[in-house]
Amino acid sequence: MGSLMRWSLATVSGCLNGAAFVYYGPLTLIANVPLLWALMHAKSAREGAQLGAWVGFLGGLHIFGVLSYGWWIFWAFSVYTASQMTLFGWVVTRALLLLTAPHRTLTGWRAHYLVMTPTLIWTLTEWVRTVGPVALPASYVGCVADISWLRGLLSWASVGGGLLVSALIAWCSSALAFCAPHRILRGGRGEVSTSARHLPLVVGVALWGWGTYATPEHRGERVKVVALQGGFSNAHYKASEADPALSREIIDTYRALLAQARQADVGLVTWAESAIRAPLLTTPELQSSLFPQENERFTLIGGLAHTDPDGRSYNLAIATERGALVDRYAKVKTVPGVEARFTPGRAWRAIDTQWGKVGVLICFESIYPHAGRALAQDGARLMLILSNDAGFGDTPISHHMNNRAIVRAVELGRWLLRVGQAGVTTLVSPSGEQVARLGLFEAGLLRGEVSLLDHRTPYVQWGVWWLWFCPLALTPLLIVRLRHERT
Amino acid sequence: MSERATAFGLLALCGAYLGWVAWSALLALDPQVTSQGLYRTLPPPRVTQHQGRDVTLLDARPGTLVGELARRYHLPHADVRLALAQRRPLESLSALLSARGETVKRAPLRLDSTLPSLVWITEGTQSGLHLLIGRYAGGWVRYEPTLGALMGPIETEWLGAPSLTSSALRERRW
Repeated sequence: MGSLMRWSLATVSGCLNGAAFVYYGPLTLIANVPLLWALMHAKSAREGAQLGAWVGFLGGLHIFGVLSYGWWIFWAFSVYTASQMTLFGWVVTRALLLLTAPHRTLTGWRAHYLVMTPTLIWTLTEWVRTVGPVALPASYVGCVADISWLRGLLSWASVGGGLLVSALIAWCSSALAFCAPHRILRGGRGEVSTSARHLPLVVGVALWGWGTYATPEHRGERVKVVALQGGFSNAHYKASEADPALSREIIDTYRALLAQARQADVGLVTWAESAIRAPLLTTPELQSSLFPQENERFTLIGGLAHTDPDGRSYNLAIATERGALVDRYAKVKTVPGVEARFTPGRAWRAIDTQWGKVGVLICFESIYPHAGRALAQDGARLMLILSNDAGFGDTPISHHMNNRAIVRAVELGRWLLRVGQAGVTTLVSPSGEQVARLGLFEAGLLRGEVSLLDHRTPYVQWGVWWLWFCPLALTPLLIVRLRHERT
Repeated sequence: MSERATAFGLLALCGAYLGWVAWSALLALDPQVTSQGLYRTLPPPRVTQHQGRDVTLLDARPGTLVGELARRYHLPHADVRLALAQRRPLESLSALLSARGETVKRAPLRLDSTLPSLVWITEGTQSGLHLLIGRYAGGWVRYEPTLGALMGPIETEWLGAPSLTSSALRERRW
């Protein structure tokens, strides 16, 4: 395979990765196949890194939808994905070169390593995206979370987190690459016979996931929930800083929505992140209309931008019952820079309510899988995500933020109500089905009924324990490489 | 087919696809589509003289939030907001919700194509007198906050606008 063909294949891979992120998630199953074909024929690890960088850059370019945020995020995303794919291309090519060296090491395992090495490397690079101060919603599992025919695959998230689902997709992609016709593999480092067996294996694993680990959705106490979606743009909130009348309008809107919610026999009402930016906690007049009154039995959990008397500002979720504040939770993972004015909370902990503990993740926090896990471990029976995606508007980021909520619901085995200030507001079952939904920039109520669940999924108990397998499995390769360097 | 031809074919296919993606990106940059772009491309405020006083003129396009303009230009604007609220009262939100189900599109303060594009005139922060002039049904109309009503049509040649049909109101108001 010539150099031109290798770069063409990398270009196809870049387009497929971007299209999977933006247009059709299941393309992730094949997105990296052309890249792997190119890497099989790469002349050096350096070329592999360049091919990977090109794929990452092209995929990142698809984030055009957030241009209204400014060009910096456009380039930052492309550079970020390019750097990750550079690492992927470099390590995978290096491993392939090693496995196909004339001395032929790991003979019996060679074909398996050919398939599994890209899988393991991909898994590690995707794990990196879920830790640190700036996590990204871009992931394989995020692409497929709302695809109903892949829900069997998604159910593995309750066993090993969303990362395990991404690993399975990477495995599928890798197995497909090595099932290619001899014409593509010949002269490269492909090996069909053993490698091809991985494909039915991964399909089998995906199908086995269907129903095996699905959480029972309707058992335990049931509660009627209502989410209030104001539907305001961020410009509206900014303008309200200068116009008290606009600020009043926002509050009046939530009053009107709450009045409608009150008419039903509801157990829990919620509104989104920072939906109310007036000093609610220090203004009795506002509390009298927005808090549940003494004769009302529902719990209200809402997002506030709040400043304490000591001058510290918080991105808060408050829980109120019978006219009083019963608990509050401050956003722990504030967005670097954008939310610098907020003091971060100390730890992820569930909020105490009359319905037991309720886990609340505020916007950006929902990208971090371990945040949700910490809340479930703290006893959360129901999950809420309070978010404000108005700034992203109708872009792939909004879509992926919503899909992240689906992944959290399956991982934790809990009903999850995601309420967006401007949308998307959605109610997700523990199996990942969206049972109700309000679109972007609509004002209205989302009603539903949930079960309060107490069991712990394997993921909640053990987290991504299996991730240790990745470096462990790669260790023999490392040993072989060191041995070759000596000889 | 030779490998070289296949490679060029793939590149052409990808090029066409990426061109389409880029075209979509350009459409997204349209100021009418992205609200941030909308405000960024607004012409700067003009200051003119009217009866010996400074008057600030702002040109707002469909899709503009008046409150956002006020924030950007540090102008008082409660009266302007009143003018818009009159067109789509806040009190009607509940009625709208019940009439159209619970998913009504909201834009109480956002001008859309059915509303006039606006020129907002303020005579400074001291007088408290703010007037709203807009194009409506092909002519210029004005909003008088103290009366709480939309008046018009009027002649506003001092704005540099095309001459309009009647000067009767000008005699009374200016």
